[in-house]
Amino acid sequence: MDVLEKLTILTDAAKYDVACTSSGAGDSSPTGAGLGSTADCGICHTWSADGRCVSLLKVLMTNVCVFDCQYCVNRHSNETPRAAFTPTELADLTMSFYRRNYIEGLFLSSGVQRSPDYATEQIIKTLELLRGPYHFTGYIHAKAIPGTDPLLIARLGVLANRLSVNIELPSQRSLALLAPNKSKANILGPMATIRDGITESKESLVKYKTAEKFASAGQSTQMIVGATPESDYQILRLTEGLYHKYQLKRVFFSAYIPVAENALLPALDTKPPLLREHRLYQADWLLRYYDFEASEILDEEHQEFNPFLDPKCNWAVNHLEQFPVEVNRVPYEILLRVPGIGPVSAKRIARARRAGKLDWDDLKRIGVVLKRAQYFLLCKGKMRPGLSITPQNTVRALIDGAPLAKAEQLTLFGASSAPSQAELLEVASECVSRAI
Amino acid sequence: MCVAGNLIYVYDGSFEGMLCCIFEAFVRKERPVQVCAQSALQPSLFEVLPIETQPAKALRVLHGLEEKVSPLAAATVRDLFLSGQQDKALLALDFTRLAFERGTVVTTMLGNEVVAAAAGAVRKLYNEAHMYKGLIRFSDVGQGMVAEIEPKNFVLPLIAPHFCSRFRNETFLIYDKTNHAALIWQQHTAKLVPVDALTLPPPTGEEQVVRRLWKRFYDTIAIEARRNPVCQRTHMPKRYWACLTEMQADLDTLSEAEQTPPLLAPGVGAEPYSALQPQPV
Repeated sequence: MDVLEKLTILTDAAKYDVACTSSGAGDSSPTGAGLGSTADCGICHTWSADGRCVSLLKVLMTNVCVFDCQYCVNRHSNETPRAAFTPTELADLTMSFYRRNYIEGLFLSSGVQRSPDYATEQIIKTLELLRGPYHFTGYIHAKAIPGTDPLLIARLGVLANRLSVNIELPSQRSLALLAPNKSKANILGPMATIRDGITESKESLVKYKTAEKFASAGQSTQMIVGATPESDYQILRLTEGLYHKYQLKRVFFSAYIPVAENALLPALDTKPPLLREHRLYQADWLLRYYDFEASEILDEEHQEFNPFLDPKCNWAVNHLEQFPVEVNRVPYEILLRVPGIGPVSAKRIARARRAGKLDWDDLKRIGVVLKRAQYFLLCKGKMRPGLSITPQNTVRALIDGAPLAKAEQLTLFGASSAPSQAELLEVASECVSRAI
Repeated sequence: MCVAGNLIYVYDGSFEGMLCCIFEAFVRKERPVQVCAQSALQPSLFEVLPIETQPAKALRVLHGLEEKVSPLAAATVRDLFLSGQQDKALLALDFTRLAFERGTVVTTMLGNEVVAAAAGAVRKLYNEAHMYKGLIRFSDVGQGMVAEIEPKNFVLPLIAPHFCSRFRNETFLIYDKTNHAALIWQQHTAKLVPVDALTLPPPTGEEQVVRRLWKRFYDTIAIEARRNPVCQRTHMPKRYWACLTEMQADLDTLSEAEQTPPLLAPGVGAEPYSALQPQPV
């Protein structure tokens, strides 16, 4: 089998892995022999037809797998062409892509060939080749396979910039049902090993400049959403727990795309729950950059996201007593809680108001998007001129158009009297108003 | 107090030239209707005033900004020169005038019309520079790696440190079609040179094989069930596609081609980028 064919099979097998980020490794300007550097902000090298950023060469070492996880295309019982790269083939491929600036680095995962330890050893061989004889100083993200010996993981952490262990499914029950070879313990075990390795290396680096770096870009994980019955609230709580307990850099979500006919899984013609995935990422951002807690976003009574409002808007309309706030006085943390204002706008406002009091025109020139924010702000004590605030038009301005547009598309070919965007908006606003 | 003149200032297109226009406007206490590079001059009813480039005057403007205002203000004026926006030179003049009037605080006055416009132009420049860190595609032409770009802004000086550090042991050339300039990295030294045209040889056999592998990877990594061309174009507008290997229609036919060296037509002008040359890494 030639490399082109292997690449096709092993890319196809790796494409459901979500993480493709290359950020957080720090800016490196290496000198001396070799090829490659890392950029702290992450660099996308292209975007694929599904709109996802492609930053790393994302492939499997092999898609031969002894595990039989029901949701996975590479499961043992699935009849699919199998292939395996040799370490040299993959290292050569990485170098020739990297030299041409096609990629920011390598994202290497593997099916469990023979055993977790054997599969990890193959990954290590490739990375040793790249870091050793090839002098590759670019970004590497490696997967740690559940059940791997901690010593091998320790070796992996020295070679890679980022490590990740997939948590796969949001609960122990679902894992037992769908991934019989994996358990909470053998997933969280390596995660803790990596966390401790990172902490230890950071502490030594303070003492000695030459101390070994361990997974300098941190660790991440991912889970499949929509294959099992967990609620959004459960998933978000779990996510928050992972950030706190394991100091993860990122938690990724992947909307389940049916790959197998199985009584335990959604039917093959089920559409991937993309809106749900989108809302989870929005909430994840609130946890990481907006200083929200999971319990502020969802709670025992409200376990699912509002389909029509993004999580921050949803929080704001349920806390109208805290608004409006005065742009020129309100602290940065509260500015961040205003719908439509993110860290970029909030920082610009904080900077600009040092030079003088801001009015509505200033805000516009600064580049703050006022469509939603205007309902929650005062400038020099005044509401935006010409704005009439009624519950109806507030809600209407806040509604997220994307799911509505989708709904319209779907009904286009169905009923002859398909509702228009305006009608949908009407229904949605009514729905949301009632909920408030 | 400056008066609005009915003049168009014309400079030679260099950074120093643009700074000299600013100097001249201060001396003459006037605001021209336009400040424009010689090459971009359009016939109009306004009177044209050619401004001579004198490095000493240019330095006075730059040092004045650095010392009397702030290094950030000086950097903004330099960045404005790199911007591809048509009114950049006039914007730089307005910004400089405001900077001397208001002092250090000028760079925080984001609500001010001039500052907001300058900040917007600079933001576009940096965004594009960041995009190109990912979207440049090199081809191996035997003597080194060559890439072509067609940016809206003059991004080469900004991306030079990134590529020179990353590909420190390679020899490479990035040709900017829009600004007719090239960044050359050879024997651990970077140089920015004017280039009129670049003719690339047909790709070698090995180059074609790697391109085909990359295209295959690119096509395979997309998930059909999540297909979203609008999202793809939002992130990566079509204007970038022409220079992207993976967006070329057919790479599957390998062809035998004679190996010829790339042809470089140097541009005129001795040292037009003296103030923008990349610093040694």
